[in-house]
Amino acid sequence: MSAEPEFSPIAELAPRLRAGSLSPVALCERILDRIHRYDSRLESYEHVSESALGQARRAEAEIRGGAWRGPLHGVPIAIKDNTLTADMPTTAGTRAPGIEFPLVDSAVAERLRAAGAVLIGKTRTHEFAWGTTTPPTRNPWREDRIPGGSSGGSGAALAAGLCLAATGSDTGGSVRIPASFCGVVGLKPTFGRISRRGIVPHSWSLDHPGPLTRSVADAAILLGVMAGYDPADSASRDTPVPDYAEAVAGGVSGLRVAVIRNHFFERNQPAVDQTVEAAIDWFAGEGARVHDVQLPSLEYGLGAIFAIELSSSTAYHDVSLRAGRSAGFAPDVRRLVQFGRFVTGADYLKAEQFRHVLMNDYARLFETADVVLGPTEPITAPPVGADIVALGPHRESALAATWRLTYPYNLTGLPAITLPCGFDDNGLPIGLQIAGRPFDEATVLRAAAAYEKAHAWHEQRPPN
Amino acid sequence: MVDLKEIIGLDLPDTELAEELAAFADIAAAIRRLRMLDLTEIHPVVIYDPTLSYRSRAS
Repeated sequence: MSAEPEFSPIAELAPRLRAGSLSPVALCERILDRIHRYDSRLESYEHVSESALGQARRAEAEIRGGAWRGPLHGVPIAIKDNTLTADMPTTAGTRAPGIEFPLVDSAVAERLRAAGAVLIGKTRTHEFAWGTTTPPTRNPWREDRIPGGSSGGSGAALAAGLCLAATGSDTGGSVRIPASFCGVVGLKPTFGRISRRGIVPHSWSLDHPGPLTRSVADAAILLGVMAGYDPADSASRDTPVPDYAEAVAGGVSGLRVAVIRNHFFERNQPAVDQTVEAAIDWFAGEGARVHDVQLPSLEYGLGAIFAIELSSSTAYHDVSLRAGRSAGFAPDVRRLVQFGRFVTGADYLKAEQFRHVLMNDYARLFETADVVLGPTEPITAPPVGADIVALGPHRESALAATWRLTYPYNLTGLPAITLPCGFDDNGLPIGLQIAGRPFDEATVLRAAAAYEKAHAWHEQRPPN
Repeated sequence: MVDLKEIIGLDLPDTELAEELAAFADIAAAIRRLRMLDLTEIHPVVIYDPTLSYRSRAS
């Protein structure tokens, strides 16, 4: 176990918090002190809670009184700043005048509070979650690099030991991209598994709340708390929530693993390919039945995700566009919000037809596989300000490159996790992505936990 | 002739609209590729649920 609690997995801290050998108040003070010392450089927090210590004191009193609520009791957790909270303002990353959000708890905040978590602050998001760079937040591994996004504040804060876990939302990869770039675990569960109530909408049929954590076991703990039916969310599914903590105990022998060779291995940095191939070899060496597949329909995915995401975000921001409030958006976001006007209704519905094709293709794939392995990102974290990414002879926009390998699981709603699987020559983390069948997060977590246990990449820490 | 700006509902100066359209070119290419697919027999993944309003009221 790491000597410093801020770099320890919650699964290791919870027994100490429960036994009284670690004080929630001391833990909260330590995290607040670290935020004070380091966040002026990283700018991962939009707001730090004034009530954090009060929450920690309550947790400490409850635990001492024998009313332990579970493994998140007394644990400081950060909330993405597009997720409503009753005691902290929400900005969704915008500075545009005339846009305000109510002080009420989202479903995610409600569930974390009920589990005894200390909601320590709001982490920065790319404005309206529409981008993958999250300015002005920096990557703790190298401060001249982006943290990814849109949940970039959550990724950076967690990697730097400024919280014990964080929440995110993932519309085209916004949990997994920053998790991969910041060397932490990020889980996008199945669409409908976690309620979207109280998350500022970006694209209704693509938005997935999910946790960013230091370990796979911690992702299992947070998912267990955050998941569940919410009749107030039309997409929420009344499906049993299994004991994910049990799921992470199994191995991978006999697991059927598919590797999609097109799309996911076409234009990656060499270090990404080498590292992910080594991870795939490890699964085969442990007795998993690994086989290669092709999914040709993926070549149409970019048009589909753009058609859906652009038209949805434009519909959501329509009033702001007409009222001129979008003039206060950052230029990149204003442009994307305006672009939705160029997408026709027929394009949108064709994209929704295409989704059905892609979902059918994945369903066929899962007839002979339990999980799909591949890279999370084709690249490691690019430099701050790089709009174009060069991959060999190819030049690609940073947005197109960073969500290329993540958006297939938003279009299909399938559960997908990223976990660290190595580093490039610049010392930047590389993420391994594991996806599974709908509502089978347990198998995804099992595969990820087995790999993590054998490699312990998650124990690496960024320089101070 | 109806103005393009009126159809798309963006009241931008001509130069800015031209810049936006130019910046949209890569995305337009991706969407054009999607348009080439014959998906006539495929139902879109849009489910209309007439009970939705009643579900919300029950919460």
